[in-house]
Formats: sequence, structure tokens, C-alpha cells
Amino acid sequence: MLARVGVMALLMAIFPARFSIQAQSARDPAPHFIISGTSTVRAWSCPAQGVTKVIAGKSSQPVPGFPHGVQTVEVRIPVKAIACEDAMMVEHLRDALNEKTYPEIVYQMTEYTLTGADTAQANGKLTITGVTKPIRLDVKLSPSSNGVRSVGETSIDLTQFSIVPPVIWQGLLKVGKDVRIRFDALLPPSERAGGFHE
Amino acid sequence: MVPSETSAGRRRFLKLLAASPLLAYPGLSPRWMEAIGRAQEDAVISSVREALDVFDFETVARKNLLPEHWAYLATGVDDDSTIRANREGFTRYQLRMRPLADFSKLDMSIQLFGTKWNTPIVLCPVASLKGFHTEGEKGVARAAKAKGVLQALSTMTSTPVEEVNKERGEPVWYQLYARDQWSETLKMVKRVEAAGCPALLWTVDLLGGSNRETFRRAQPREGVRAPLCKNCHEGLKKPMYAGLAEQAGGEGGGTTVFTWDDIKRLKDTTQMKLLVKGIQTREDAELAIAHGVDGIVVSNHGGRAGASGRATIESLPEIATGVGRRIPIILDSGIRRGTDIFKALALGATAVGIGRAYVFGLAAFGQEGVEAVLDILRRELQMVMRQTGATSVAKITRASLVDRFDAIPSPASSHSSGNR
Ligand SMILES: Cc1cc2nc3c(=O)[nH]c(=O)nc-3n(C[C@H](O)[C@H](O)[C@H](O)COP(=O)(O)O)c2cc1C
Repeated sequence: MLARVGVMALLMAIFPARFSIQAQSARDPAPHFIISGTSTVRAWSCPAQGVTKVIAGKSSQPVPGFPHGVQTVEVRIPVKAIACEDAMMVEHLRDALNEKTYPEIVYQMTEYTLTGADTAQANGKLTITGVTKPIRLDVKLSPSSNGVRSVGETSIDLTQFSIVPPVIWQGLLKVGKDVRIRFDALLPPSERAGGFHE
Repeated sequence: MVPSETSAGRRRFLKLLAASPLLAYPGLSPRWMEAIGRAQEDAVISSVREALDVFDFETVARKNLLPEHWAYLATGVDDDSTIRANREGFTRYQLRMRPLADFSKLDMSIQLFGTKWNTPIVLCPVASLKGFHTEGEKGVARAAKAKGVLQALSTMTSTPVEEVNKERGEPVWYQLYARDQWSETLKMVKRVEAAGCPALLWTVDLLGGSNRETFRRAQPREGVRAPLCKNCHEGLKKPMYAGLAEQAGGEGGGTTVFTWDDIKRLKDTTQMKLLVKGIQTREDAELAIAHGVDGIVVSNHGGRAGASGRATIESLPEIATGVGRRIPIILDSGIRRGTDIFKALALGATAVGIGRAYVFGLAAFGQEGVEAVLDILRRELQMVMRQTGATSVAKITRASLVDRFDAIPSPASSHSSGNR
């Protein structure tokens, strides 16, 4: 049973829907994603928020609220929603991500498996600057009285998405090509799951 | 068996081996030595989950930082021997283990001036935290909030106190470097008071100056006017100096002499609790009480003030005797382990401060890193409390320690005829 709750939470966690943003805001203002990396001066991080769409059905693994499982989950993070504290960082990030041509980062989950009582793995595709690559996410779930806290992370190499890591000040500061994407969400219990149906 | 490169588990094991005293074992084959050597190069954790102790963050911090910034964090004074003394001082005290206690309800909380904190661990004021990670003081404030610990903010903060308080969800303690002109000091104190800060730590250990060679050796000849550095440093004014008159000695340090009378003068001017940070002797602890201070921080600035060669943990017993529990004592400098915290509490500290330990976490992984450092230290302290049978902070006493030096027979007792 825990595993079933876990899958639901996993889906909610990976894909922080409008629903979860609302449900959380009063209790936990923490950002849903933290994108972080390094540079030749210091490490950096920028929080971001996304919007989610879940399509039910056609899965071998039923999930609470989705008796026929989940076909796919899609999360869209507008590049504009990546909110680095420093305005200069925002500018360089938007440039690097070619925001005018590719205003969104898109993730699509294609399948998921439970890997333990409180862990799961989701396979899918990540599209940044028009380049699509397969991606695997490991998620840890810790149920509490407030809901399920879902935490996970993955690393990507920017150059694999044809992104040139920013180099500024005549080459004196270089951003590292490896970037970590973390998500951490406190999510309400699964009876709210209906909110996810399209 | 040949160590393979393919298994992540084996790589982790090799990393551990690389860091362990086993490396000195003469029986290891050259192939093992080679594999360990490779693992040593790669002995940097890539996420907080891999961290076993505080030192794991130090390696990442060093890798992440511009060498000039790293040197600022790492530096001591002269040949850095007081930094080493701070660490070695803890080994003077051994623990007396008494594990058959009911530790099912272990209480690690403490009270300072009537406020309860989840652990006796305080985040010390450290200057310019944005130089270590873009999250800077706000990331630390979020971590302090998440873990329910006390945060002290430096005068040299890169984020204004009002913003840090907002992020922390309640006012932090504020560390003061007095300005040359008393009226300017008071302006800053009033600002901090208006921001709601309940306590002020006046740092006095740098008043005589400090010779930070490791730092200076790492800086470019042009200092912060070097092509890279000036992008951030040129024209930069510390946010807490906004609206204050320039100092004759520049922002780095004033030229005015301060004495105990000034401590009293400040105490009489502010509603905030006043602590003096940088006390290292019994005499000064007693003078602090005589001049009305509410608490002291036993600190040598993490070995970056004077080259005393004396660990704060070794200064603590005489200070605790002088204070006699009349006011709280916070001890910092060199804390990296739960056992260090335990020893400080056993020798009379009310709480301990960490500086570099949390900055390693910040520089490595931002807020997440600071939280992980706090978790590790809390876990380590919890374990030693269980092992010694101390089920609350109040029950951590001198009886749990042995001073190695006490165990050595004195010349008088070993040579009864005695004149040496
Ligand atoms: C990089 C750095 C900057 C510091 N800045 C300040 C400061 O602005 N004000 C202050 O009172 N102490 C400052 N300290 C000293 C700390 O508050 C604390 O006393 C010390 O770090 C404790 O030693 P530890 O680093 O071994 O834990 C600084 C320490 C470091 C390492």
C-alpha cells in the first residue's frame, strides 16, 4: 500500500503541478526545483517552478486516484520561471538557454517502476533548447502527517543539450558544464490526487 | 582480486580506503595502491547523501572555490599553527564511555536567554558568504530555520540583516565590529536593534590586528583590482555600512583603540543582550562579567586572529572556572565533530559555534550543504551522548572526560626527592 501511495507521491513530486504549488504555498514556500552548478569562482543555484499535466490510464501499475495507472506525465518549466537571485545570472542563463527560441524546458515521463518501499524510478525525456535526451530520475519518498515529502535529483551535462555554458568577463569566469536538478516537495495525502486528472 | 573501475560501490570503498590509515599498511599490492591513488584524485562527493562527515564538504568546497576565496576561508595567522592547535586541543580530552543508560529519550536542546534551540550548535558569524556560494547568508538562514538552530550574522555580511531576518523567519543574532567613530557604531547598533535582533556579539579578538599569510600569499598582486576580482569587488560597499561614514583604515578595519570601558558604554546603550566574542582567558571572562556583559564567546576566531598557539578547548577550563555558570559561554574554533561539541559542553560551554564547518557545506552545496553539516554534527553528538550515558545537554559533565595531562604523574610525585 505504501508503494502505491509512493507512486502517487512520486508523480506529484517529479511533476509539481499547479495543484501542488497551491496546496503547498501556505505551509512550505520552498521552491520545487533547484538548479545548481559550479563556476570558476563559486558554486551557484537557482530555484524554479513548473507546471504539470498528467494523463491517466494504460499503465500496468495502478496508482491511487489512477486505477488504470498513468500513461504519461509532462512538466513544463518556463525558462522565465528560473529565478536566480542575481539579475546578471538570470540574464546569462536565459541567453545560454536561448530563451527567445526555446522558452520552455519540457520533461515527459514515459514509464515508472517502484524500486523499494519508499523509492521509485521514472524514465522519460528531457528537452532543452530543442534537444531531447532520455533521462532517469530516482525519487525518495518520506510520508509524514502533512503528506509525502518527495525528494530526488539528477545531473545533466549542458553540452549534451548543445548548450554552451556561460563564459563571462572576457573568459575570466566560466560556468561548469555539469548541472544538478533537484526537486523537493511536501505533498498532501493522495486523496487530493483527483486534481491531477486532465 | 584486481580492483575494478566499473563498480560504484567499489569506487566508494576505494575512496574510503584512500582516506584511511590503512593506506600506510605495507602489505598492499602496487595494483591496489594504484587504484587507491586514482580514487584519491576522485575523492570528492557529488551529493550531500554521500557525505560521511564534515571533512567531505571541505574537499568539495576547495574544488568549487576560486583559490583566492578558498584561501580566505582556510587561512590562519603566521604559519597557521593556531588552527592546528584548535584541532589538536580536542585530543587532549578522552571520553569515559558509559553506554548502559536509557537514552531512548535523548534531549539535545538548550536554552539561551530564555530561547530554546534544537541543538547546542550555533552558526558563527562569517563574513561575505556570497563569496562562497550565490545563496550566501540567505541560504544559511534557510538552513538555520529548517534545523532550528541559532544563526549569528557578521557585520561584514554580503546580505543586509533585514533580508536575512526575513529568510530566517525571526531575527538573527548580530556580530559587531565597532567603527572608528562611536556615533557610527551606534547607528549600526540602532539599525540592528530596529531589525529586531535580540543579541549582539562584539568581536574583540582582531583589535590587535592579524597576520593572515596564507590568505595574502594566495591573492593576486593587484588585490581586488585584479581583472577578475574587480568585477565583483570594485565599488562594493558592505550592506551594513550603508549610510555610515568611511573609516580612516578602510572597510577592512579601524584604527581606534577600544577598552573595557567601551564594552560597558555599549552595554548601557542597547536593549540587546551583549556578548563579547574572542575571550581567551579567565581574567578577561571575569572582566566581561564585571562590565555587565550577558555572555561570552570563547574564540580565537578559528585560529585567524592571534598566533596564540593555544586551543580554545584548552582555554575553556580556566574560563569556565572564572565564570562559574553566571553567564552563558559559547565556544568556537576547530569544531568539526560531535565529540568536539561534547567535550566543549563537558568543560563548561553552554553551546558551541561552528564557522568553517558550515561554510564548507555552503560552498559545496548551498543551503542543502549547510543542512547536511548540521545533521551530521547533530547525529555525531547524539551518538556520543548515548555512548557516555548523557541523556540531556545538562547531563554532559566533566565526569565524562579524562584530561591526558592529569593522567601523567607530576614531577613531584614521580621524583619524590625532587628538585629538577
Ligand atoms: C572566512 C571566515 C570569516 C569570518 N568572519 C568573521 C566575522 O566577520 N566576524 C566574526 O566575529 N568572526 C568571523 N569569523 C570567525 C568565526 O565567527 C568563528 O569564530 C570561527 O570560524 C570558528 O572557528 P572554525 O572556523 O574553526 O569553526 C570568520 C571565520 C572565517 C573562517
